[in-house]
Amino acid sequence: MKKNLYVPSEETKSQYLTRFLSDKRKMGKVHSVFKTSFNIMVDGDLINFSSQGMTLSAYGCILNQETMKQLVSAVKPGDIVRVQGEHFTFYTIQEVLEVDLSRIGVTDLSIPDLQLTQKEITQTGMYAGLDSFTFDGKIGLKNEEQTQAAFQTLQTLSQQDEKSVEEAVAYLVGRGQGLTPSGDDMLLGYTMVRKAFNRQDSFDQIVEKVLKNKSTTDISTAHYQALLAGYVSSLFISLILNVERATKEEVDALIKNIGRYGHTSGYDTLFGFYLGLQSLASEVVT
Amino acid sequence: MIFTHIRKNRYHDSINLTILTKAVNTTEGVDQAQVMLGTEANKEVLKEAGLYNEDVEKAGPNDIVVAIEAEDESVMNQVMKRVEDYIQLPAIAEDADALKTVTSWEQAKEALPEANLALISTVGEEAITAIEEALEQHLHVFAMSEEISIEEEERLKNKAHQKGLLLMGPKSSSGLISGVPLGFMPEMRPGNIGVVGTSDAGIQEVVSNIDHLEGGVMHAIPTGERDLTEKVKGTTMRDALVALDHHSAIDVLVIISQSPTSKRLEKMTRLLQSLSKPVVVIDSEEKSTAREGNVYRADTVEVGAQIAVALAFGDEGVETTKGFKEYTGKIQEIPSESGLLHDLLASKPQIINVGLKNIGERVQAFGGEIVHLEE
Repeated sequence: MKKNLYVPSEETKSQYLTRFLSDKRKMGKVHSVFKTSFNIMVDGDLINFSSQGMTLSAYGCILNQETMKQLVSAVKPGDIVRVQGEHFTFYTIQEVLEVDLSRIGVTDLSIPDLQLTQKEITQTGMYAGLDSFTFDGKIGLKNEEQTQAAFQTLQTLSQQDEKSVEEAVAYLVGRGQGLTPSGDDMLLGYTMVRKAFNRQDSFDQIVEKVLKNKSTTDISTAHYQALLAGYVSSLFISLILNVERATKEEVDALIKNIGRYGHTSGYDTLFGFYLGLQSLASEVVT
Repeated sequence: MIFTHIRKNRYHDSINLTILTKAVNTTEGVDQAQVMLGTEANKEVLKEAGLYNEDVEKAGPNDIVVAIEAEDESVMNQVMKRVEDYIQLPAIAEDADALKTVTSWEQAKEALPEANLALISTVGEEAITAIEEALEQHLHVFAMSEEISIEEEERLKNKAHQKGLLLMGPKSSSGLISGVPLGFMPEMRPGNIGVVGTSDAGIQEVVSNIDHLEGGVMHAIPTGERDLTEKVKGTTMRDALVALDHHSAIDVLVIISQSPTSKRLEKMTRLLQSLSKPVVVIDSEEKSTAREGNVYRADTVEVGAQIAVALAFGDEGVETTKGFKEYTGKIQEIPSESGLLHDLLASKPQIINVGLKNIGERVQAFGGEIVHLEE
């Protein structure tokens, strides 16, 4: 287990996931399959299945490696899935596979409240670590004028009118390549830290508004939905909790570990997180 | 009009192509069809049949000639899909080692100790002997065989039923067991629908419609054309429906039969109404759709497939044109399925193949196992 990273050691499921499950039979399809995880889509909601040793998705579960190996080798995109209560039936070409999530425990992945005041933000090891890190060349968006303008708007949120903020958010939603475009990862990082500090923050309402008119990938959409409901993956629970307690050296190691996730996803989210801390710190100054 | 397609250097056993020709002739829109190698002798046959053109003239003895007469060229697409599904895998003639061959039933059971299904394509007396032996070996049977009298069919099906086994057929050429296509059945997305049918063409059509609607079929069980006659009394149909009703992965049952269906299925009303899962009966004698109790009746394959997929996807409010009528008749207790039948439907089939060798790799590609018995 990587230091300071919350990686569940047992099979478990996200509390947020349990909201999707009901006794009425629902049918869905396998959406995407990866080396040690896969997603299914049921009634427009994505559900993630990952192997022990990985982080717990806000909208997913962790199953033991043997079960996941069997599932990953059998399921393919388009396969039909039946969901009844917490019971999943996968209709694959190889065989019918059943998974019962009622036998595993629940993990609360709701965004923790940070006890730090906004004034203390720039004193934290987290801020120091992110501030000293060179994101250039690591994040997935190029250093273009419009991109810089969007970052600038987010950094100085309290000084911006709603229209400018909306435009910056709309610029970033769905921008970039991959299953979770870089712009989405940045916005997720930004939004989650603001929610951790300030429950009454209206920024997520702007994100919600923009998402009604601008689409992005299914996986980014699932991340946004969970985040707007107040949930993030276990990886980012770690990140948020470390704002209060981690030293700069620990943050340097955390950045390195998180940066490994996805092609640029990890760094993109960290960058958004950093912008979020800056926006909160600048509110204090004004 | 004549439409032709030549598949170069795809030699296949001529008996296989004869059976494929038969299947292709049941494709909607086809007036007549031939699938044969481009030998000189076969070209004469095609000339006589009026299925000859420049393409056929140029075909060689190792090429497969597909020639049809149809009103519309688009019919050829359906025909070629069927042909391609069948000839996709290398012919066993080219790759004889791909299918393990044994020379006795004992050797077959030794090679495949978990064998649970015999696939028999011999004909007449030879087929009857093979079916008897398979039943003695406690194997379910998928009989593609022809030239079996209705008396023999009745006798063999009763024997199968007594032993808790299923005799599918005879003259069945399309089926699906645990997602493994048998005979001419195309690959199908697995799902929570089970199909039972007396007509191969009907089974193929309904499965194809369900697939088009993004539903899935786990089992498609052919009963043979005469199963619902007074003589045979629906032995295979009944056992198949009971087994599917007990199957935890199946949520909807579909029955398709050549007309007249109403009378033949009337005697099964109590059974159908007693099943725990909704049943969609595709009956061309119906003029519209109707629902009575547990049973939905559809007048066309397309509508039947739509109802089945809606039910499979959890839609409890499927409406029919004649509305809903409550069933007021008696209900019967559904018997337990036989353990052997439960096992057949719960796992990939382990097949002892008697007759044509051409299905080996297809079965294996879908997770089944097969040995070929050449006595």
